[in-house]
Amino acid sequence: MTNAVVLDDIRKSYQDVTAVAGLSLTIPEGQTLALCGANGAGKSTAIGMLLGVITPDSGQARLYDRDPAQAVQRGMVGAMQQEGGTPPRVTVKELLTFVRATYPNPLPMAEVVATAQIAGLERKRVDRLSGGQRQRVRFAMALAGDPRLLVLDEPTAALDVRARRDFWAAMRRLTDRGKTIVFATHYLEEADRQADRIVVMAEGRIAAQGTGADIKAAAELAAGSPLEDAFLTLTDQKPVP
Amino acid sequence: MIPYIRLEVRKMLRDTGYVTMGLAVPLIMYLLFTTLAIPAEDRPEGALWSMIGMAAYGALGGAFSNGTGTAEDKSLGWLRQLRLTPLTPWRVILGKTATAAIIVVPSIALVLLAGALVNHVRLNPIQWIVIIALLWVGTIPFSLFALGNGYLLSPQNAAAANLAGYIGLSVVGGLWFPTASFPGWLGTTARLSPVNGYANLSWSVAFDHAPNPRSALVLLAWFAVFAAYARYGYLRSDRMV
Repeated sequence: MTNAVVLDDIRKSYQDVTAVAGLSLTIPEGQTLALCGANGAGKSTAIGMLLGVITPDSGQARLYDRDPAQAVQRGMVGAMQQEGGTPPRVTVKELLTFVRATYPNPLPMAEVVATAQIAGLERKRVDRLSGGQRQRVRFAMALAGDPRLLVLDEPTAALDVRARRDFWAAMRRLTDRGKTIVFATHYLEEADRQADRIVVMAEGRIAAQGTGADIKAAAELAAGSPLEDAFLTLTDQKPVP
Repeated sequence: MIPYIRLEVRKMLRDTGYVTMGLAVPLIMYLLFTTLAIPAEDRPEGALWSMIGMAAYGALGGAFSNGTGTAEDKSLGWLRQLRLTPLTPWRVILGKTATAAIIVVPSIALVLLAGALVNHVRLNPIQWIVIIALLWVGTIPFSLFALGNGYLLSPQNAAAANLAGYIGLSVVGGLWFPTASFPGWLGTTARLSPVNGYANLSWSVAFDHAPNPRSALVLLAWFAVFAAYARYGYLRSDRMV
């Protein structure tokens, strides 16, 4: 089976702060993986190295057995940054038309609009949308090229409950089509429900990984206890009783 | 790359900075200068001289606002998002330079049309063609300079640096007042300045029927400097993203 992502002991420091301190991870094609961790645990830096926009100090990242930048340039990857990433003064449709044109086999526009639930926004300017609407447009940009691998950095951060539910329904349609998905999130229950596998990061390393039950076991907590308690134990933050 | 250029040109045409600096101000200043400031007996020569000066001024307005827009793109995360599409970084720079080359055309056309239609400037067809070509191609060094500022500086600083560069170089280059009226030391500086090299190429075609070789050399030398600066700015910003 092909591996979508292979991270081999990647490390990155900024001045004297270690962001990622040796991360190794293999993600087989078709898996949905949730990357969890407190702020500053190294999630975004790890994602940046995975995508080839941050160069690791040592170790290497491979996507489909290629250099990440090369995989991106071949249209195998779609990504959503944690924030920003949309240009000023263009409409949703103009933006998505451009993104689709850069990929070799993009998703039909109607499908992009339906999946990202942005019907009715096409003629509006991206810089005049609400936070939640813009979030959906950013998701639409990630999937517009119909890439094999989707990398989403906190994709539901600005969404309300309804929009979040719609978002995961859209994601399931993508996983049903065999897409590999890596997403970072602060919502543990969401990770447990949506991902095949959870990776908990703390201080730039993997603190635990597996299913929700595996994570609880790693924290030596009872199966019925909340996943958030396990998370806090594993990331060295005491759970509030 | 064409879809990228199309998107960027749309973005720029809706930029009030461009519309003001690149289109409205040069045209209004040209009409004001030639109808109010030039005595009737000097009018034909003055209208021709000022037509080239203000067309150059407008074209530079477009080139510099394109660079300022790049700083905005950077701060909005748009440049980073582009790196997550199959578009290679090299094509992004090329596309952005091409965008500048397109948006300077209306600026040049507006002032030249005003010269021909309002002030009845008369040149032979070859002079028109050569002047249009020189005014157009000559913007490339300034587009690169402005892009370098855009890559290197924050949006506020890039806007300030580009405005200062734009106005300062235009004044020193003699677009507003002929360099012949400058005191000795300033006159020498002016003749070695990039904007004077740029505009004097067209002035020499208009008045002496041949482009001035010294001006061509001056502009080429500045082209080399500004291209190196843009490259440096891009590489620096790439590391920071």
